[in-house]
Amino acid sequence: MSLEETRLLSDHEIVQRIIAEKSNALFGVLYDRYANKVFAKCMSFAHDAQQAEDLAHDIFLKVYLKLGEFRFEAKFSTWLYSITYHECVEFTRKNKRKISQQEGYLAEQLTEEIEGSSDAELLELKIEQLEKLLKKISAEDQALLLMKYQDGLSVQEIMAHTQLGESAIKMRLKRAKDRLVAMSRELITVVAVLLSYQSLF
Amino acid sequence: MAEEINPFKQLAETHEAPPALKERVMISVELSQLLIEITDLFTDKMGKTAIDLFRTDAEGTDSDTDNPT
Repeated sequence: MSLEETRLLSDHEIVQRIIAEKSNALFGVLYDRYANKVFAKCMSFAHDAQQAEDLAHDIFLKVYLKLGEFRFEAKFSTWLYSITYHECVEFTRKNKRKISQQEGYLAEQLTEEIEGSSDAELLELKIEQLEKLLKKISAEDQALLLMKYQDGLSVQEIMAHTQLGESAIKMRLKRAKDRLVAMSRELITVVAVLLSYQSLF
Repeated sequence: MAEEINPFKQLAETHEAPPALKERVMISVELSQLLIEITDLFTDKMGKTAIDLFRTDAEGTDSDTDNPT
C-alpha cells in the first residue's frame, strides 16, 4: 500500500497497522494529521516556540510508546488530546508557571465583583488578548477552557479526560471564564485611562 | 446569520508546527523502536535461545540446534 493510499485510512486503521507491522512511517501519517493542533495547544502552555516544540516532541513520543494501550473504543483524537492536556499541565507544574500574587488577588477580586460573564463576552476577546490572558490562569483551568471552547467537548467528555466530577468541572469552567472576562475588562479600563492621560499632553 | 468567530478556535489555527519538529519526532520514534527491539532480544529471545541450547532430544529440538544426548 502506497503512502498516498495510507493517508486515506482512518486513524484506527493506521494505529492497528502500526502495532501489527511496527511501521514507523505510518506514525508519520498520524503526526501529519495532528501536529499543528498539538503544537498549537503546547504554545498555549509554553513560554515560547522552542519550549512548545520540546513539549510537542515529548507528547508524540509518548503517544507512540503508548500506542499498544489504545483501546479503540474512543476516537484516536480524543485519546491523543487527553495525553496532550495531561502533559501540558504537568509541564506547566514542573516549570512552575507562576501567577504572581498580585495577579491572582486581582483576578479573585474582579471575579467577585462581576455577576457572571456570558459565553458571548468570552468569545468576543481578540486572539492576542486571549493568548496572554490564558497564561495568567492556572494550567488546569486553561486546559478546561481549551477543551470546552477550542475542542468543543461536552462536560461529560471533559470528565473522561480529567479526574474531576461534573459539578467541579462546571464550577471551575465558570470561574475560569469569569476570571478571563474580568481581566480583559480591567485591561480595557487601564488602556482607556492611559489613552485619556495621553490626550492631555 | 454570520458565523460566530471563536477566538479559541482561531488560536488553534495561528500556530503551525515547525518542519524540524517532525524530523525530531521520527528520529526519536526510530531510536525508541530500536531500543525496544534490543531489549526484547536480550530479555525474551536470549532466554529462549539459552533454553534451546540445553534442550535434549527427548524434549524435542529444532532441526537447526543439533543436541545429541
